[in-house]
Amino acid sequence: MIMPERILEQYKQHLKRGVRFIASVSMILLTVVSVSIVVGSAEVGFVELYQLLTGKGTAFSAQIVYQIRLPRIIGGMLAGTALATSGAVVQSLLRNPLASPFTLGISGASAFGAAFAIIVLGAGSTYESSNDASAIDNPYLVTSSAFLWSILSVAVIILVSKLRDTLPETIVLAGIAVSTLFGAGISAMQYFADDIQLASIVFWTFGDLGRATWEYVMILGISLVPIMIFFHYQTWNYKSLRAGDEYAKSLGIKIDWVRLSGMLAASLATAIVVSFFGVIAFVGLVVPHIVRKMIGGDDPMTLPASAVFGGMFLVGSDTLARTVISPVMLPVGILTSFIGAPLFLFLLLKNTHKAYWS
Amino acid sequence: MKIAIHNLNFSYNGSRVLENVSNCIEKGDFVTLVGPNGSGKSTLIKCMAGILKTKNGTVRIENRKIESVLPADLAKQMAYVPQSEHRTPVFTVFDQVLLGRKPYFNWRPGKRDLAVTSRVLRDLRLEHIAMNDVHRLSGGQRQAVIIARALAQEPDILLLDEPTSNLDMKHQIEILEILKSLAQNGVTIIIALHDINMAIRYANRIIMLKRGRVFTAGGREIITVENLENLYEVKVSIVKQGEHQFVIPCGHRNETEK
Repeated sequence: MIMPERILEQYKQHLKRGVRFIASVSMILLTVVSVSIVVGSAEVGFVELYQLLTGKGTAFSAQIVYQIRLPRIIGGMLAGTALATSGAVVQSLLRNPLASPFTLGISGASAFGAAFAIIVLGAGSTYESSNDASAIDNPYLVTSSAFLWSILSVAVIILVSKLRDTLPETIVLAGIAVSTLFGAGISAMQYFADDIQLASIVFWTFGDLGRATWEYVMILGISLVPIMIFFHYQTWNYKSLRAGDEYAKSLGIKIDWVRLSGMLAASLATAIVVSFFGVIAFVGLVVPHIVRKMIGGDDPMTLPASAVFGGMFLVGSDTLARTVISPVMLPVGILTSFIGAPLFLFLLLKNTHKAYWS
Repeated sequence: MKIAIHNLNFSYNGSRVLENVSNCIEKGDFVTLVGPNGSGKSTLIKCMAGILKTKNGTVRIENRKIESVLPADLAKQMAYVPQSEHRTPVFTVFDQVLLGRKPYFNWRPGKRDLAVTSRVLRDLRLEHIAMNDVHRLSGGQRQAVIIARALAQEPDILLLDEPTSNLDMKHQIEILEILKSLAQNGVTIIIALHDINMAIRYANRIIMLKRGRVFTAGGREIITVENLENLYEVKVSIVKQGEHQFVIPCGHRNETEK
């Protein structure tokens, strides 16, 4: 007979597996960040970076590193963390592997909000930069509008589920309805837009970390960190819901509150990211699955591991997007799908014996 | 811990499922709920567990209405084992059992929660599969894990909804033996069972439900041909072997009369 102490020891060893995974991904993240600082259309080598850190760098390299690349990298880390964690939470809450905050129509609503600001509120299209066919001359108005419309979509879904029931199926179906509605709204906006307005809308909908400034990073950090802490605090409530609503209720958990507050927080986090950087597909949907495949389905470490992996994945994708056909910088939203889809397919084919979702 | 049900009524979308159900169950009782499909066994269990709320009638634990007890406190007194879990989360056995400690912790399990989980796994002889994925277990092992999860709540009352319905005879007996020993240690067991022979063998009290009402309730003396034939509307005979009695279904009542 194995003594309880021995079982406990085995469990601690099991938990360490998740910790080791997080540590490995963190190391990769650090490497990716280092590479991301030095590569790009403007040359800043490791030597120059060292000189910069020791106070001997040039004004040019300081400008590139401190004002362009670092906000972009930190913004990317925060955005990737928020999208991946929100995706993992929503999948757990709705017990649906295809769920993500995007399934709930947040990206559609956000894109509609941006289009609304560009066309109706005149926030874009009048200015043409040398790099882009069109640009947005009032990004704050576009961002605010995108955020407000995405919050409106979340409010509609939560209202519908409150009026009817908070069953996962109701929330998913309400999300699909809202998503379709905003999709039609975007099409209508595009139909009435002139060429430059149309280009501005399309440009905005490509997720792009190049819009990051220190101001953006500050706002992102202040709003996203409390949401991430909230998710971490709720981990075991989310695990209970995965075992079924009736069972969770029998544990004394207020399932409606847990589900709605989790949905609201995940939607808020996604809405904040999307309104700053545009639509970055795939991270929220697939990163949690990649993590589950690697460390096990509903492991206690799933949320923190998704957070670190999401940050690493987005910064890595962005680095590639900036360099793969340099000097042209691709929007990261395109690269995330190009990298994530084959990676996920590979993982699906590998270790087919290991259950990771039910 | 004593549990008393008084004039309990429950309806799903206007259709009455339980009607004036009353009974009093004492500490350490092993009570089986028996009756045909749709007689209200599962609903009664869920009402007692506080999962389904009803305004008509009361469920009291030690003279306190369950509505007046905080949900987390109720979960420390009473554990519920669902009929089946179609979507078992991809947990290890240890994590699955640890989930039963949720009423005792907020954001993460403490030392005592981990210690209780280890002890329950040892008591149920599941320690060798503690780190296995629940999905990889046989039906019997999985059911034992779900019962272990309920025991991790350290409950005084255990409510089980058909916990042996998908198990072979060996595993049915194993699970029921575990429950019997719990009852001998003072845990009140209330279990919905389809297998009338298992119900007779293990219970010291039987509640027969028919169309949402208590048809009859009592000790093994209520196991009579007349009661069972009226309850299930089939012909039965009862065979005695030593101190045990066995119910044998003999066909549909009308069919046999022809």
